[in-house]
Amino acid sequence: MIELKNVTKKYKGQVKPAVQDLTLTVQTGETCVLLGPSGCGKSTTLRMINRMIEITTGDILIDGENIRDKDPDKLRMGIGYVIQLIGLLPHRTIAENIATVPRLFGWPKPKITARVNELLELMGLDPNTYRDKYPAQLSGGQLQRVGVARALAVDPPIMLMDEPFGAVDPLVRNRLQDEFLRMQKQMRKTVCFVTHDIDEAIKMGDKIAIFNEGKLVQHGTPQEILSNPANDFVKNFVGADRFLKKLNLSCVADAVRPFDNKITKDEVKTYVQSDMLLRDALGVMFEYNTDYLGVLKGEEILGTVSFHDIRSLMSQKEGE
Amino acid sequence: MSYFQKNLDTIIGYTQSHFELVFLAVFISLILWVPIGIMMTRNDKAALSIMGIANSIFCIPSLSLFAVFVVIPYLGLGRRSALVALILYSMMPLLGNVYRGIKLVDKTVIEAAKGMGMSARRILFEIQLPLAAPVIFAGLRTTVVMTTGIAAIAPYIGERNLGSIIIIGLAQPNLDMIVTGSILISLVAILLDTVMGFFEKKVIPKGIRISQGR
Repeated sequence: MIELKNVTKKYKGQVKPAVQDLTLTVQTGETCVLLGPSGCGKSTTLRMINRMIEITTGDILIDGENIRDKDPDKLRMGIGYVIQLIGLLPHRTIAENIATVPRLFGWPKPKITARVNELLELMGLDPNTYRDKYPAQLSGGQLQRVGVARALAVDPPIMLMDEPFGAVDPLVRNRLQDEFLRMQKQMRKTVCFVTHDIDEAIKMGDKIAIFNEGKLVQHGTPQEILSNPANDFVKNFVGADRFLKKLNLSCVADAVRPFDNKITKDEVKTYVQSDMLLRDALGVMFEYNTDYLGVLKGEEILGTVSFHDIRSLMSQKEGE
Repeated sequence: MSYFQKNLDTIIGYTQSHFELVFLAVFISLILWVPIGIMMTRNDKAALSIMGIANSIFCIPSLSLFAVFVVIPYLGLGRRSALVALILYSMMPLLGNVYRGIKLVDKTVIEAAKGMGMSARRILFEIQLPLAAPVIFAGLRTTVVMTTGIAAIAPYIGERNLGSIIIIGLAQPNLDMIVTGSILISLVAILLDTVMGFFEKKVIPKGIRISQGR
């Protein structure tokens, strides 16, 4: 658990604090996305957690221990850190890069080798092919994977990620996000994730903390933030299409119901899978010019989802 | 070439002395300027003034600089003055390149390394110096070639080396001597540069050579 208590950061020679009186708790195993426009203090906040930036006033506790009481290098060795431009060591091989922190911990060589291979496989990079390559020989998406692998090397309970997928093209970014979500489902790490992209925040975050001008404006689940923006800033930031964005938070399974007399199997023009996002399901309805879709789970027919059901589901959640 | 054949012993002695002076000057310069260059990267203000001094010294004609040290007690005529002058000349290429080389290392690499918990010392030895190696080595190569050339002026203040052949040749005048001296000094410079080039390949990490397409 990461607890920020009344944290303020004021840079020398600046009147306005970069982060002002911030109190925020990130629960163990939770992904908290720090979201906001550039210069809002989200990166500063992240970097205060591993003491890359020192706090001016206030306290940050990790599992109850004040980070001020720890040696900064030791503290950082225990926290995974991924930055947008990755910063792999260009003169070291991929395997050596991933082994950086294990080496700092003084792991024996066979253990490091085994761990590096395990991580490369986890990232979908064949160890035999990539171990001895240099960063200059890899593509952007591959480098980003190595960056994540390196941060995971000693299996730290906490990961700090500063726009980790910001520098790759949308297609690769989507894939990296999906991969990370899949891993996070098993790892359950405590993750702080900085982004300025609202869609990424909705996708990655269990919780979202929205910042503006150094202050925390709203902290809640993506659902809460899309449904009840705290003020005009949040409303503008999440966009006028926030109701459409909510369609990304639910899948067809949430709105499905069995066939009945009103809607029969004959009226259905096409079928979709139950794990399809509602937004995509709407797209399919538009494509087939229909109000009803059949829902499948694998081969099994679950029932139907209607335009009306989706509409009422969305407006119902609005009231929460 | 008759001069060369008749005075082989003298020439060998001069060559030896030339190498000695160059080697000593470069060796002391390395011990002195590399650590100072590293320290400069931690204080930009001081770095600016030190580089200013280095540049000014570099602008002084070598004969004037040699002459200045001759009048200083303890230094006087001979090798000591020559050494001090050569070391000061190498300040610009060597100190400058150590400083620039380290400063040019990608900030994100340092940021990531620090964020992983690497100490400042480890970052210096495992990241900054290896990554700055090409630039530092370029400075060292310049220093060696430059020192070889300027050392040839040192006979004016009592040092004896390959420069003596040219200087005596000019005074007599003896075309044979002038040509022999010039060729020998050039050969020494080219030889040293070639040897340095060989070492450069060993010093620069493979990953950097790959990223630079070499």
